[in-house]
Amino acid sequence: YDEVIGNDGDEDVVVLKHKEEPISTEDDDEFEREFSKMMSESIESRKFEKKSLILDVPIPMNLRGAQGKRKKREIYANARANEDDSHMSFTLLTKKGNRQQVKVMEVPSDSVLAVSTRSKQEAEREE
Amino acid sequence: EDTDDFDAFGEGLGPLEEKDLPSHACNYCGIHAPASVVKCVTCDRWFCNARGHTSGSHIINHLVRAKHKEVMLHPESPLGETVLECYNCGCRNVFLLGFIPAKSDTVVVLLCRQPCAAVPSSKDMNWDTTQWMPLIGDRCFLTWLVKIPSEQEQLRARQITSQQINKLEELWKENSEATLEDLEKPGVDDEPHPILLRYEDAYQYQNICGPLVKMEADYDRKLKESQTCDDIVVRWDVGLNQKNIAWFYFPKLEMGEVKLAVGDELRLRYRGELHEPWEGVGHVIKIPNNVSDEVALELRLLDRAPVECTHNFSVDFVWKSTSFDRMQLAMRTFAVDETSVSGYIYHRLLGHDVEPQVLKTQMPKRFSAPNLPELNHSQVYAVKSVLQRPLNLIQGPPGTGKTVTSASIVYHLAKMNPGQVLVCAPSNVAVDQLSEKIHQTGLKVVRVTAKSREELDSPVSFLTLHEQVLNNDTNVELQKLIMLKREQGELSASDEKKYKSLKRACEKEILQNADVICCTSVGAGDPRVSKLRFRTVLIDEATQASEPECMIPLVLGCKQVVLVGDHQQLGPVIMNKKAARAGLCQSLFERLVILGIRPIRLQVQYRMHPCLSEFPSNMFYEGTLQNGITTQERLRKNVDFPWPVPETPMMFYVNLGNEEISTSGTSYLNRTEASNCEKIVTRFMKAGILPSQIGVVTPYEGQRSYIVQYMQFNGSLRKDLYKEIEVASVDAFQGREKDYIILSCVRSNEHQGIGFLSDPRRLNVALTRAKYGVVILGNPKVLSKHPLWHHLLVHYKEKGCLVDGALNNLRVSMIQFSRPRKAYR
Ligand SMILES: [Zn+2]
Ligand SMILES: [Zn+2]
Ligand SMILES: [Zn+2]
Repeated sequence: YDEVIGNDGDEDVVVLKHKEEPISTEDDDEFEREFSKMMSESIESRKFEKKSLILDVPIPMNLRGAQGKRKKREIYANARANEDDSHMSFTLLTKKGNRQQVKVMEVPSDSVLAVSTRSKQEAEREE
Repeated sequence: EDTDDFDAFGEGLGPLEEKDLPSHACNYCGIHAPASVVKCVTCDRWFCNARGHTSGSHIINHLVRAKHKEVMLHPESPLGETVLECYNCGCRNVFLLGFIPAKSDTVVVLLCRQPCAAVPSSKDMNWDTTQWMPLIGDRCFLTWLVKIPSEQEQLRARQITSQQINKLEELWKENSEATLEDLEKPGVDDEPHPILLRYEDAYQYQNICGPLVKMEADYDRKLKESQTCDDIVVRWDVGLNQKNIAWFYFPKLEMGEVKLAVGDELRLRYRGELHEPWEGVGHVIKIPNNVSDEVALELRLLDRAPVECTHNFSVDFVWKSTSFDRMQLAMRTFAVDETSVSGYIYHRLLGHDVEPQVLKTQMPKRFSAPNLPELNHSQVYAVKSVLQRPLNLIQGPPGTGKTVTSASIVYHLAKMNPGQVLVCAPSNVAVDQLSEKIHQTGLKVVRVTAKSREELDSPVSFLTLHEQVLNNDTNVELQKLIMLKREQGELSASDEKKYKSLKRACEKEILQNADVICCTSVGAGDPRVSKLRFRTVLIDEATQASEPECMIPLVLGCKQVVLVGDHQQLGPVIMNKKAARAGLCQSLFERLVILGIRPIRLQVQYRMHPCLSEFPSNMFYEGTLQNGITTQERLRKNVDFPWPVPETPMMFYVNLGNEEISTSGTSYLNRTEASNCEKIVTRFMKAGILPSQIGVVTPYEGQRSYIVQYMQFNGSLRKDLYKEIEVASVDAFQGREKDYIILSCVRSNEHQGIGFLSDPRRLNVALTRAKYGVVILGNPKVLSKHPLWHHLLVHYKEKGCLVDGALNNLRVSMIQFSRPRKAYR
């Protein structure tokens, strides 16, 4: 969690040049308090949720391991065509009704997700 | 994309053709690139992921302000039409959602933080829950999920402020079709009538201030009544007075909105299966502090609490209108009762021009009071002026001996004037301190407390009215009844009636024999006090009371008034923004200053090492603060601490760590600063500084509790030493001092303001608590954007006291400051 925030800092932020006035106003302070409240209430509300929902999400066979990767590369050739070093492709699993769907998601290479995945892959390769 | 739309934006502030925008355009700014907008599923409105002029992105602004939580991506966005939800349980609350990656594939799913992602990662699981990352970071959706519009797009979009967003959201609650243009229409913006500088008469005064007090009261009630907290686990205990005490953790407190104070009433309810439904009301006798995060609630004897049960309790606030009622009553009295204040005071309070009045008084030979320290020249001047004038303001900057001066003034006023002097302050702590000092002069002091505080331990309990009643030996019958009541817990109806009337008579006698009566400003509305008349009134900490609160002690017949305070330190706390904006947050003291009444300033400070008073003096007191204390008296030679310049014990320690939302999702914390804070505290203690003489000041509750925990778990010295270190907000330190102060600023986020720290008065208080040394932990890059902090940083830099690196190897920092946004003053 630390790292997420750590890396989410300056890089991917658009700073507008005309923004000269101080950002902090009463309304902003109030927004921040409300934001914190929203976060905490969301978590509070599920504190006592049963943990019986075991995390049992299978990874579809076609996305698994090295073979899957090759296959995936074929499937999403288009999406990957214009990929450069600045992004890394991930597959996002979602559900529509009971049907599983897969979607390609481009993630910046310097995001925590990409960096940690790459280092995991490298570690695996060395094994 | 249709560029014509953009040309319409190019007009800047010109009228915007709402009909030309596609339906998925951001309802705030009009941006409509499919990859940059999401739909709020609850209200079917679209918003973009740009921050514009606010600290959160537009969609987050909307979700927070409308309390909506579910969103959908645009059909033409890279991921196509997608409702964001937990893959496992279907939860759609985006404030709980985050990605987790598979252990060995480039596959991710969305999971909710609680409970699905809270399952520890096991070996045979495909997913790595330790890598969970939230969808919302820095109050914005992950920018690779919802693209941030380009700079071009943002520049061309409608420029909307936080304030406009707020109003638009309010408007939508009544009319879902409302647009930004509707904001301009008359009648929409029903701000209350603001306070005035001068008032025609006391009726106008009441007509303007009354509604503001009502707004604040309504807000306070709503806030308190919404604070019900279920699933409270109680630990039972019995006090020395045989009353049951419930100990519990109260999670709502961390939100910082509701301030719980000792003496407040809470209702505890039981709704479990082990006991029949039960409820009881009690008084808070302990609030979370550095020793424990628990709240202690003392219940009434009669309530027969189910002490065998521990779970399934709920807690509600019990809202009381007393203080607001007393303010309203005071303003009404001011309006209708001609004798409530003297004619001169009446006109001065309303801001009318009147001939200055000088009271014919026999000046005392000696201005210092018996048993109190000798007064310095500016203090003598203050006492002298006060005795001759009917209305006085005394400004007491930090460490200038405000309490001694006030006590000396009260001594002379009591000796010179007929009748009793009424001495008030908004807080109980200040009243207690002042009562004790006045008592030292030999005057007969009675401290009147609220009934709810009678059981609380206080350093001046021997001065309190109820103790004096208990200890009086003139009325044998009353004493008998008191004994009986103590033994039996209650009295028969007829005895109770007799007891009450005897007690009232006894109270009256004690009050009449007193020289000085002390109570809080709200306490002055207690019938035991308000039935009396007071010609002479002194209000301490007058800059911390709202104006109507200040009126309560004034309308009891005053002819001579002394207001003591410092309008360069923290002012009254007003919760309702509208009421605050309309001026309720301005103290009477401040208004009188604006009206041209010059406060007499106490000018010699005896607290801070001269290097510590230099910046506050220049910045807040036009350089007039003199040091009554020398460098030598404030240097501790045998204390081994790595001050960059040993003879100036101050440093700004550069900490670039990031702030985060605290573990419970509320408030802010900064781990780097917490860890350095522990190191500094440890270093101080190793050098022989008592833990009770070290204070840690931090503006955020999240950081407060994090530092307390961090020191407990990571401190290298004995754990209980760290417990003695006070970690608290700036506000909690107002009026107090420590040998060493560490200030942890927390905020290091580029997109927000620096929140609480941007208030110059709060900064003044934070910087002026220490006698021997100050360490500030913060991020100069962020803080220097604020003009006042920029000055402070330059000051520390010029003194060679801006450092970074490890604590045992500090170097002068070369960090570049940011350009401040706007000149200060
Ligand atoms: Zn927008
Ligand atoms: Zn909505
Ligand atoms: Zn879930």
